[in-house]
This record gives sequence, C-alpha cells and structure tokens, in this order.
Amino acid sequence: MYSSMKHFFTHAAREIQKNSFDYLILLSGGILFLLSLRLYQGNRMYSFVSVAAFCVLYILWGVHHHFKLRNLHLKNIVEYILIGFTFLYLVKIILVI
Amino acid sequence: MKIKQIILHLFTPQENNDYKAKTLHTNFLSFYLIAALLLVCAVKNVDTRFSNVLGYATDISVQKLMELTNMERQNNSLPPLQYNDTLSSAAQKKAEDMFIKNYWSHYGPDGTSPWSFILQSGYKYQYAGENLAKNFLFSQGVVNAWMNSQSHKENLLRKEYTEVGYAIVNGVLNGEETTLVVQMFGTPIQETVANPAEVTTNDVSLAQSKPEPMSKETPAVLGKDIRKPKINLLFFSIDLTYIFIFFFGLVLIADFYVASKLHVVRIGGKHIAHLIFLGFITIGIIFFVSGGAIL
Repeated sequence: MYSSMKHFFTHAAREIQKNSFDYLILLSGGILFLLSLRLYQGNRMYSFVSVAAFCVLYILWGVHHHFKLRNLHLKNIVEYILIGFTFLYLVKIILVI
Repeated sequence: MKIKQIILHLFTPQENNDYKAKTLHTNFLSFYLIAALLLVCAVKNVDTRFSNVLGYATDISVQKLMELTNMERQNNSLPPLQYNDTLSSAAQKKAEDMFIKNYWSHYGPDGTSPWSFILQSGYKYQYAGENLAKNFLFSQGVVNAWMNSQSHKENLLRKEYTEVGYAIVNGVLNGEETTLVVQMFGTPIQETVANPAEVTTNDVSLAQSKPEPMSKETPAVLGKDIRKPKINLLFFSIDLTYIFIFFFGLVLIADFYVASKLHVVRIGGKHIAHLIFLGFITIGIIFFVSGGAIL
C-alpha cells in the first residue's frame, strides 16, 4: 500500500514538475475560485458564476496545455468539456438555481 | 473470474480498453453529463404537488433551530427559550416584507424597523432582538454561523430573552431564489414596567434593489406541524454528488496509477489536472453545503 502510494505521488510530482507553470496557473485559478466563493458566500447566483468561470478556466487550461505539448486532439478537448460541464451541473443542483 | 475482468476493464487501463479505464472513455463521460442534466431537470420540475418529495427547499426546520439554539444557551448555563407563536408571526411578516420590498437588512428601505413587526403582531416586549440568515442548506449551518459572529452570538445568548419565534421562507430576492431565516427574540413586558422599547439588534445593513413579488414557492416553515417528505431531493442530490466525486476520483487515481506502472503513452486529458479540478470543486461544494449569509 505504502509503495503504491509512493509510486502514485512520485509520478504525480514528476508530471507537475514537468509542467510546473501550467499547473501553477490551474492551482492559482482554483485558489481564486475558492476566494470568490468565500466573497460571495450566501449569494447563489454569484457562487454559480464563480463555479462556471472555474470550469471554463479548466477547459481552456486543458486546450492550452495540450496545444503546448503538441498533442491537442478533439478527444482531449471533449474530455475536458464533458468533465467540466458534468461538475458544473452537479453544483447547479446543490446551489438550487 | 469474469467479474474481475469486467472490473479491471471498467476501472484500469488494459489492452482491451485502449489502455484507459472504460469508465473514463468519452461515451461514459457523456453518460455522466446526461445523467447530471437529467438530475437538474428533475430537481427543477419536482413540485410540492408530489406530497412525498421535497423539491426546491432546504433542510432547515424550526424545531431543529430551536433545539440548537437552546443547546447553545444550555452550554452557556442559560435557561432555554420558549417558542412563541406571536414572535413567529412577526418573523414571518418580516421575511415576507423583505421579499416584497426586496431588501436584505434589519431595516426596510422605508425605515421599517424589526420592532414594528413585533408590535404589529401584538407582542409587547421589554427586550427584543433579531437574527437573520439566508441561503443556508441546514439548520446546523445557520446556528454555527450565528455563533461564529460576535453580535449574533450575543443575541443568541442574551440572558434577558425568554421567548423566540422563527420564520423560514423561500422566495425570490434580488432575482434569485432565496431561503430566508428570521429569528426573533423577545421578553414579554411585565405589568410593572412603564417604558417598553429597550431593543437590541445587529446593526449591519445590506440593502438590495429592484422589488419583486413574493414567490409562489414552498412558503413558510412556521410552527411545529410540518409534514416531513419521504424524499428530500436536496439530500439526495448532495449525497449523489459526493458519491460520484468519490467514484470519479478513485477511477482517476486507479487509472493514473496503473498507466504509470505500465508506462503507457496515450492520448487524453491529464488525470492530475482532473484531480486538481475535482479537489477544488469538492471544497467548493463543502462551502455551499455549510455556508450562507447572516445579518
């Protein structure tokens, strides 16, 4: 179990190190997203706009990242879009909008 | 043996699934999106006419708020508050006034004070106070937020108060479906007291604009005989979201782990990016479930 976890984290760290600037952008976007949620706490509409903005950032991040790595395919874009929108709609239910 | 193969096929990269867990393929991802969309439609369209299903609503109840408030008071060696129908009626009027005049404040845009609702309801007070909350999903979140704010906490733990009333009202405030909680404290006037009107309130104000009529949504939860629905869609969707996040996260981790073990190079999104996205969304959902605004 320990060695499996070590293996997972080693590979994850390697992937992040290889593309540190890209992941920094994604993490910064995530932190901004949480800050905006804190700022608009209690306001469902603004909270939803923050989630939508983060989902769009995530999709754009995917396009930019794969374009930079020269492996941008329609399949990649669709994957980011499907995941992004699935979670956007799940959050929409919880926010009762 | 067959079951094991199916599980491996669904959750780990194999030759027969193009070295990517089947549950992460585009057709499965499309299925998740369609399921989420259907759930959105179901929640939107389920109306209170289905007596056993609670649609647009929160899980805040007067009983639970009373229980939690009195628990906090007892923890601070204070006597519990008694439920008062007249104060609840005043709280109801205050909540309706906020929806009709479209404001989120202790004082109305025309200067109406919370105390006027109490007096109009026929409650003569020696001491009175008001706490407001909006867009919380659970009673515990409301009381926690009040206890974490000094001025609200002082109201909740004021020893002079003997009675309390509540209104929990759904409506449209500033164009947004909102759940308002109004908590009104009071101490009825004693016959011997000549001058009433010592009042306390939290002095924050946040006015809103653009009036809108009262919503037709499930109105007040006021009083004690609220019919509990058998199915609460809110609970159901929150639970389902958490289960899906857990499942999806686990599949991403398993797929990434096995793919890195097998040194597979493949076309597709980055699992680490998906996991980071999932992490932030999960924290966001925890924010929504626990948080709201108080005044």
